[in-house]
Amino acid sequence: MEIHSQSIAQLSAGLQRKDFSSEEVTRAFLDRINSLDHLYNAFITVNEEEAMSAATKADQRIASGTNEILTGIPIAHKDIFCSQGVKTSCGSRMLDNFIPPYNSTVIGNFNDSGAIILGKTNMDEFAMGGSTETSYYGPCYNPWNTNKVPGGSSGGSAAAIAASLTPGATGTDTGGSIRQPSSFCGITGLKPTYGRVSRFGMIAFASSLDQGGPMAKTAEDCAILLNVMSGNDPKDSTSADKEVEDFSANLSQKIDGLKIGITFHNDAKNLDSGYQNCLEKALNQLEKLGAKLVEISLPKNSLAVPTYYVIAPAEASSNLSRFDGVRYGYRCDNPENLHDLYTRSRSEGFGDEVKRRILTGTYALSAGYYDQYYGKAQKIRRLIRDEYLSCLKNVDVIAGPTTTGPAFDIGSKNDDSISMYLEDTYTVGANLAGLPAMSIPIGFVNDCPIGMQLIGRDFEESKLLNVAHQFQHATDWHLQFPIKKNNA
Amino acid sequence: MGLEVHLQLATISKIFSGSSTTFGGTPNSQACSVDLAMPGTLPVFNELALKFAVMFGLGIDAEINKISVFDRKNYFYPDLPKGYQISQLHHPIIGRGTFELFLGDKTIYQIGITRAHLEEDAGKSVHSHFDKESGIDLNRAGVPLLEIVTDPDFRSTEQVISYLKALHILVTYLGISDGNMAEGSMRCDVNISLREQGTDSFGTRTEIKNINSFRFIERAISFETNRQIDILEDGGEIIQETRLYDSELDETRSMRSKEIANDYRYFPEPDLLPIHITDDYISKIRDSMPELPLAKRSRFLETYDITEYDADVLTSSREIADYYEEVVTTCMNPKLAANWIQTELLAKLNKSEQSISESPVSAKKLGLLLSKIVDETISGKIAKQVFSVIWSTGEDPLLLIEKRNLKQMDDSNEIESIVQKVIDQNADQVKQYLSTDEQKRKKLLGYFVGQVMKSSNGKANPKAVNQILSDKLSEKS
Amino acid sequence: MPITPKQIIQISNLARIKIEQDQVNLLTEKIGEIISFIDKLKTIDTNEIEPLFNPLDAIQKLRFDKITEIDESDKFLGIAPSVRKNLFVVPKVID
Repeated sequence: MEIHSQSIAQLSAGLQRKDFSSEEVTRAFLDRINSLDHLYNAFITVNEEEAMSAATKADQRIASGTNEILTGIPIAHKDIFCSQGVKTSCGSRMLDNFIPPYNSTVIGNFNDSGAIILGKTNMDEFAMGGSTETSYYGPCYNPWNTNKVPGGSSGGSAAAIAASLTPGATGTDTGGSIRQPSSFCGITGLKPTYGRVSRFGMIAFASSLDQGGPMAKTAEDCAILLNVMSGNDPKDSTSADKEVEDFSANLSQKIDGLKIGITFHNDAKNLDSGYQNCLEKALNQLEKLGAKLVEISLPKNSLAVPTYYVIAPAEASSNLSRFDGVRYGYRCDNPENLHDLYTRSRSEGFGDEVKRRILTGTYALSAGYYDQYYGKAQKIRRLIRDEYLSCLKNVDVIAGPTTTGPAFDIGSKNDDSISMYLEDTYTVGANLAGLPAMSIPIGFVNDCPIGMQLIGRDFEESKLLNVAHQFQHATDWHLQFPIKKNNA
Repeated sequence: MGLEVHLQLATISKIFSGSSTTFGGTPNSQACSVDLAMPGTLPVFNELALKFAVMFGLGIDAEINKISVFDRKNYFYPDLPKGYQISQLHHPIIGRGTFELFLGDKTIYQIGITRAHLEEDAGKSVHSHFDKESGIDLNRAGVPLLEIVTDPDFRSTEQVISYLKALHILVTYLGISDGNMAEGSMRCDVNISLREQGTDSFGTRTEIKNINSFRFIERAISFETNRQIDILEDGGEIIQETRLYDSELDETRSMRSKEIANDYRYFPEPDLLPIHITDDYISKIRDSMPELPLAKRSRFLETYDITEYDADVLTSSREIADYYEEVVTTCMNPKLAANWIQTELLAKLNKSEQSISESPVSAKKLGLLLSKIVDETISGKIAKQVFSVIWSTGEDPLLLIEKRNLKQMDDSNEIESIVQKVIDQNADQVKQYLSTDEQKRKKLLGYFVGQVMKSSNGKANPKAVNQILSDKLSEKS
Repeated sequence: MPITPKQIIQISNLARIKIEQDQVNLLTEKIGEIISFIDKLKTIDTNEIEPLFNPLDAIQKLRFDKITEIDESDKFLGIAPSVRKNLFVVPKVID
């Protein structure tokens, strides 16, 4: 099998057996990026020289026998994770010149494990969007059909994996930003429980919702990546003081008797029939594997999107105040006075969607409106979480659609904020509740992949990965890739 | 008047980061990625800042809130790198408490403490270096502050000053702040509103910011009060605003920058979780609390039988009180120790502008010296000479007394021979003594004692000298 | 509209976002749509419900009072847009 078609688990085994070196693997992916990424615009920065020198070091480590499972494996990082010495733009003009002198904890952890940074992936500006069209570096294109969006905001990571430009990548998910692009690009992505992965050095969008997570071809690979990403971080007060289990340990466990909650009949009315069929087949497959399907209902979830669009912009409006042209990032030319320095640096540095969300958030927090918006939304958030928790008392996992349909056309939703926001209908609930959730490929609608979402209890990523792995063991949707298809 | 005091807590690292809080470093050398609000950085709360806040709460017998929450106060200012200050709005760590003031006329006046909350300090704008620009130094950004807010209970400048002095003593006793006003460790904002005589309600208030010495507080209050009186007498209206005290011009002026309608958009800081304080935590801190100034003052009055004035001076700082108690333990004479510390030690320290912790004479040495007065080894006069020597040389007082042979002469034969010599050498005075009245005799006796002391180099035991002289002279009459 | 052009100007001032005059109406409409959308929440009865500010059911962790950071000002000042005499330079700050 060609190097670029292999999963992380396969590449790791190959490196261990000395079938190939890390230099060869890294070179292979860099070559693919260099020759193909002009089609997808999945990368903002390619880290060629440093990647190759890291590969040389990884090979020495492998030779000395001190390697870990990811040593020598090249991966890509969403350009929201600060990487020491490598530009970290967050998809914004504001940070086009920003080279952080420090690493995010996530990148630090990957570097320590010996993984190699191929580059930094494209994203919606400051992670605000669901299509990777709001990037300062131009839109990213879906490898399955380059007229379509790859989803967002972690669209670059998803597209890069789908196009086999990297075997795995990091993403972040505030309202669906890992799961929705995973669904649109036919890959596997996991948003861990809030607090599982450190947010230190991950540029904040909405602090109480943001969570970094793994994206790869398979659930098995996601488990490998999550093992390295997660853990309590003394630099992040909201990182959970939980012992990190081995997420790979329970993958091959059978899922007989596992109770899966479905909201199928409720969701069905919003889904097109193609998606419904795929979902039904996927659920049947889970039944065949021994799972029991239990109909549940989550009526409060209909409030999730408006609740999210209060909380996320409010927190963002404050988180983005630090971008003021004083200490780093974009600064306007010849400011007349302090006010001019602030307003012009921010207006020229931020794109339209970011500005809209800052304004909405500022409004929601402003005098006289706090109780009716932010305060209220946080109360509804408790109702939503309580509803999920009570369902999850009776079932182990909740399954349903990840998105409302397959990837949409580039430019088709640019003028309609609300319809873009409604893309998040199925995903934002898990962010508001803090629960782990993942998306796995379950088929195609109009030749574009679609995913199924699995939501689990707090800190039960292992169970989600187990279900996903068992499903992938029995199906091959995750093994279908656009390039392979084109080549065939 | 009501006061808001910003007290810098004496932690070595910042409230939300591991940078040093040392005053006066090279600009921006003590600002790490968190203090600079670099993208993606997050705050982590300093345990000692929490402990200090709780200690303060216990010190004024205030409510300690079991759950307290940090909030973001959003506004743009170059010395505020995140564009928000982490503070506490709705759930401050310390709730209601009271502060008792002893005023000069011995009355006790109670000041209500509304609340005290934790927050981070901002950086500093430097205006002097450049022409049309300002420089920003973020070394101070993130230094822990406890903002202590009082009820509008102050009716005079004297009360304000005595509150601030008592607060200073309390926080230095607790060791939670150095309370240094000049370095900005204790900063004070005063809210002033006037009340027409005979009415209950107060007028519109103004807030004066940035006062950093007792003298300036007095002047700022007086300036602002007069300004308000003038306006009201001219039939004008007071505008509710923030004013800055300018010590060079000795005036308050409106802060234009703060005038743009402030809307701080407070909301709970999502990067931090609620702080839970357990009863167990509070009782552990309570058990380790040092004795507070007022308790110490009462104890001193009771155990040591000293005057109220002495007790005030000796408890005016924890260092002085500790010094005093060590001297007392060594010399076993509380009154003597109180006198010596005030008249000799503090006077000398004052002259050399040193604090008691820098005293060249340790409490142990002073105690030993005084113990030699108590057991009549030396006289008070000799002791003063010894004190002078050990002040400059740091010698051990006991060795010095031994070495210089300063011990009091107790041998009556020796004293007798000196007395005899003095009587022989002063025949005229003796004659005069024998022929005069009681009044003049006393005076002459003093003269003879002086002469004896002089010939004995001050070492003769004055009691013995008196006795022997009287005996000898009465023999003659 | 749930928000007026005047309010948009006020908010943009608070947020230090400059809006061109010809954009005010368009933006008022756009933000207005979003506000109408989130206004759905107003109809929900949330009396007696405690807000959930953070999904992580934990209490604040504390760090020891220890200096863990070294002086890296050369690196940080090195990426700043305008620095002189170790200070970040901005147009004159007027108190």
